[in-house]
Amino acid sequence: MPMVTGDSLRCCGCRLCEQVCSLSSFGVVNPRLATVRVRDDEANPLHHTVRVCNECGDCAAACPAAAIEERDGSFRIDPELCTGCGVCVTACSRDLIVLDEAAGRAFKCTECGHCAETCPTGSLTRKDTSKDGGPR
Amino acid sequence: MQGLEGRKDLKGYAGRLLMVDLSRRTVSVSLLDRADLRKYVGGRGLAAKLFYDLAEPGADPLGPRNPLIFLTGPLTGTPTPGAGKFIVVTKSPLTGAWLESYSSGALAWQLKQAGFDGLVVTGAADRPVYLVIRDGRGEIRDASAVWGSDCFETEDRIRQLEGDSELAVSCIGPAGENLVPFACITSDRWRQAGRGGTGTVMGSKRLKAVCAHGTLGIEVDDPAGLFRLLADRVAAARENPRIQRRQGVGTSGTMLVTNSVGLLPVRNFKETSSEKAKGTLDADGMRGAVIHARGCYSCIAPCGTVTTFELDGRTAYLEGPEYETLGLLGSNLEIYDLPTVIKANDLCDRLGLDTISTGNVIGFAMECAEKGLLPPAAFPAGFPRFGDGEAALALISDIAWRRRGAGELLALGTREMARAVGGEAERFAMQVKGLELPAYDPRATLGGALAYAVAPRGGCHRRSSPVHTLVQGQDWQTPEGKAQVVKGLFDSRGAQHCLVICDFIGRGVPVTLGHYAAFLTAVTGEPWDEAELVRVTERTETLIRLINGREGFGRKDDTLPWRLLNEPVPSGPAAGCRVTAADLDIMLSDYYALRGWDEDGVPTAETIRELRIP
Repeated sequence: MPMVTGDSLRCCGCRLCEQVCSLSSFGVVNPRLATVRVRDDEANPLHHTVRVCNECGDCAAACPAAAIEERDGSFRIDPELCTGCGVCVTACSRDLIVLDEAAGRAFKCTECGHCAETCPTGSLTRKDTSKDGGPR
Repeated sequence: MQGLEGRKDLKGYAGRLLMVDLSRRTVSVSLLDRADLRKYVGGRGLAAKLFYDLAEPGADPLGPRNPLIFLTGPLTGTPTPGAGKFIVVTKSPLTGAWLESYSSGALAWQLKQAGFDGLVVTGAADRPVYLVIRDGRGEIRDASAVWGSDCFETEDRIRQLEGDSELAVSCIGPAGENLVPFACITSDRWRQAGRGGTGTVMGSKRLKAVCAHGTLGIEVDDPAGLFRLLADRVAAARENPRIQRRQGVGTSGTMLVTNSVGLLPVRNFKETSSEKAKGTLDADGMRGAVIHARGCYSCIAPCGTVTTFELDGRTAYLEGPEYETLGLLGSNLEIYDLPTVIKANDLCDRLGLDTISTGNVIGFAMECAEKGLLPPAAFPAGFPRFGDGEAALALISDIAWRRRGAGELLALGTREMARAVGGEAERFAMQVKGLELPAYDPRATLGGALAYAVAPRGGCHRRSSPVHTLVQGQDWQTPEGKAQVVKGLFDSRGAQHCLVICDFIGRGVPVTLGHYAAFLTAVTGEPWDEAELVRVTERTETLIRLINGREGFGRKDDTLPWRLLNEPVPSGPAAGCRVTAADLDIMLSDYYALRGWDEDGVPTAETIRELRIP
């Protein structure tokens, strides 16, 4: 299935992706709830780093409720099984899983592509990477 | 403190203002009035309403009774193109008139995320303070650790003191502390509420910084509709060649236009074009220096350019310079060395000075030197000369610190310095109502001249656009029809200023006022159309005219510097062009009539009633 990839060198820092992501998942604009992140690059204050899920599966391996399963190359959290324990949040090395405390469940990128669709510089793109299969 | 549920009936807005009284050291919350929002939307409009109600006519701009208002708009912090800005409104210490200044910066969206549409600061602290606003609360903090620091140091230090790396910091530098009347408010290092001395008013209140960090979220009425609108405009922007070009050179592309038609200030607006600027300061010069494009929050057409330079033996970075700075600290001073302009830009940013007014006052001093008008005692190391980059850099620092002699003199601002210098100096003091002119000489475009004369904050290019008035006006040397063009531009841009949308987005970028009405409807759930947004702007423009009127401003002040009215452009593409007093008079009368103001420029009772003011 098509996956979202990020190119930090092309990121201009508009952070539309974070807003759109939270809007799509939660119906509210709140960058804190986004599963894509743009941050200042500490080594070079005028560049940004953009982080997207690389579907590494660390969250699934860590989930004590076995609520995260791979489907067609993308790991999905089953809302029925998720207990909201937050182990996956800690396990994610990219800090891209958010816990919705009100709903008592975790959210991760679903590869919906809304961020890529509204990225003005082409830093975020959504394409099918299954053919080359390389790491992202 | 009232609960956050205060205005859950409003979407897009937080529904609340933080009211800060620095004399009493109190903070409280004021709820927004729904009827005001329908009449004034937010940003410029709502700020005008608040200022009209709060400000005392005749009050000293640097006294505790001058309110300082920071406002966002209903779209701020939402994924709407260009909705990453805030407006600052106060009475200007440079002009004594209404002052509006806009800035990008994380403060805009973080304020909204923290549950506030803005804040109103009154009074003055007895010792330095800064404000921190987080999720429904505002606190006044001791700023003694950062008082005296430059803007960059202040930003870093406050984040450190607060233990919050994501805190938005908007602050003043030494220029604001020292009450230089054209000190700016700096956000995120390279974003400024530049014009007219908003930073000076902060300094007068001993308010070093306003900071915010919010996590509350912003509710919108129609998330799916908002996403579709955005995706559609992003797709259009990606295919827009103008936007793609701009990403490599920023706003320096403007100089290719202004230099080719004769609008570029050269030698303190003596000349209006320059061969030497070609390939050095314009897009062709910038192209090699720019290493990266940056955009503001929610921008779909980034115009920020990252350049590097050498500072104290190390590589430093600047976001900029943009067109105004290239013009006023470059060609206007006959400095055609880009690294020197970059250094001057960096220095202004750190010290908290408006590059437009700073470039003007230095250019003015250089011309005064040429004409033998400067007091030698103030310049022991020699007079500043056009083309002398080192002299310009030294003067920037002298101004910010108000150093005795040259610093004190230039820190008066161009108009007051001209009075101090005396003689014929006032003739080439390039200011309107006390606000120094931006990097467009209007002699070749009468519409631009009218825009300068009637912009309520003084010499200002953002209410209208000199280049646009040139293009749209076609026969740009006849006064007829120019008032219509200028009013049209004021009204469409005014709507963007009420929404607090970047007005660069609408210039050749495919987001029209009609689109913004649709964004506003998706965010607020209230039906809006273009015509009603224009109506809001007409109401706002007349209300601001009333505000300036009660400060004593009128037709007599809607004028231009002597040079523009009396000296034809000596050479270049605009050779022979000038604005005659007769032409200006025709345009003013036409403009007042279109606005429903009388011959003296005073809004008629009928206009006030019809627009339902205030």
